[in-house]
Amino acid sequence: MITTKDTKNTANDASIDTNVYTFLATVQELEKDGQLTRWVENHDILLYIWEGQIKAISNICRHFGGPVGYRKHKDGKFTCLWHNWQFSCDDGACETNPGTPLRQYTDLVVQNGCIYINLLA
Amino acid sequence: MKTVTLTLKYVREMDCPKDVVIWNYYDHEHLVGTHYKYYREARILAEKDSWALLYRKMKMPLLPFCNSTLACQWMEGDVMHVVHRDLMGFLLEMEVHFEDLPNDRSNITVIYNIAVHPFLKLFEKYFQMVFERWYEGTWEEDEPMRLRRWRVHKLGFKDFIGIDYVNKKKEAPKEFPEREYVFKPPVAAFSGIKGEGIGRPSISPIELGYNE
Repeated sequence: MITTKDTKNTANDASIDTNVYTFLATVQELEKDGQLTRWVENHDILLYIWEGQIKAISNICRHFGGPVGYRKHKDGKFTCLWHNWQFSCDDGACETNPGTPLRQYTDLVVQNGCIYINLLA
Repeated sequence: MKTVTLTLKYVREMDCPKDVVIWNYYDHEHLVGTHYKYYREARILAEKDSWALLYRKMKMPLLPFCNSTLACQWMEGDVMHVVHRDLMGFLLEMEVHFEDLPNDRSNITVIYNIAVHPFLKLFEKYFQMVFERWYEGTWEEDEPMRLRRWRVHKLGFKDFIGIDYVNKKKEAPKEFPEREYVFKPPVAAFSGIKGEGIGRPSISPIELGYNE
């Protein structure tokens, strides 16, 4: 479970396995709006803080490929810009079409104010 | 009734094939999503192949009220025709010419012909301003949508499924095979746009934007 407080982790960057983890953003960038999106190695990631935890889900709506995190979430839901499909901030579950949840990225590491992601987990 | 025709023409290039742009014009559900600042309601009254009969309610720039139109849309070769009759009785005929260019680019020409009472010729500049703002505003919102649609298509995106390596947590391919983008209307609709129509949901006013 990654929280924003983990940013005080003092481990040095050398302990990050770059074969597994890819730099995504700094905690400072994330804290600006509490939410950001970024393309990393052909993955479009929606990174956000929800109930004190840092979470990441795919930013690609499974309907037609729209940007789920274009707008700030509201009432615990993201609303895709293109066709208003809605997704839960808890786990990316799709409320509009329940068979099409967004993929969750569950392996995030915060170190020295930087957030790293494992794209295969 | 005798009328005069006001004509406006816009030409733009897109960094994607023409079929992506045609898809965008046939994706009626995005009107109250991508263009939620302009469109209040959208409804498909009838649809078959490239023919669609549409109801749309919108807020056009510089007009202090919402307007609505009944529109018929169809394709003839690489030209899309749309004939609109609006709340005020104006007849707007729109043509969009699609042309593929080398390197997955396309050229899009939009022509508006508005039939008005001769008296309204005096307000031609005003009509130009309204339509120019409308065209620029909606193009600005459609352009990133088309580019993103093209981008995810090249990554293997399939409608209602997504991208295989993302869903299955697999390694992304080192190279992506070329996939031609072929579009044949209509677009599969998921919402109630073919029933009672759709409007804007309650959404956050804070836009963080695209990251392309």
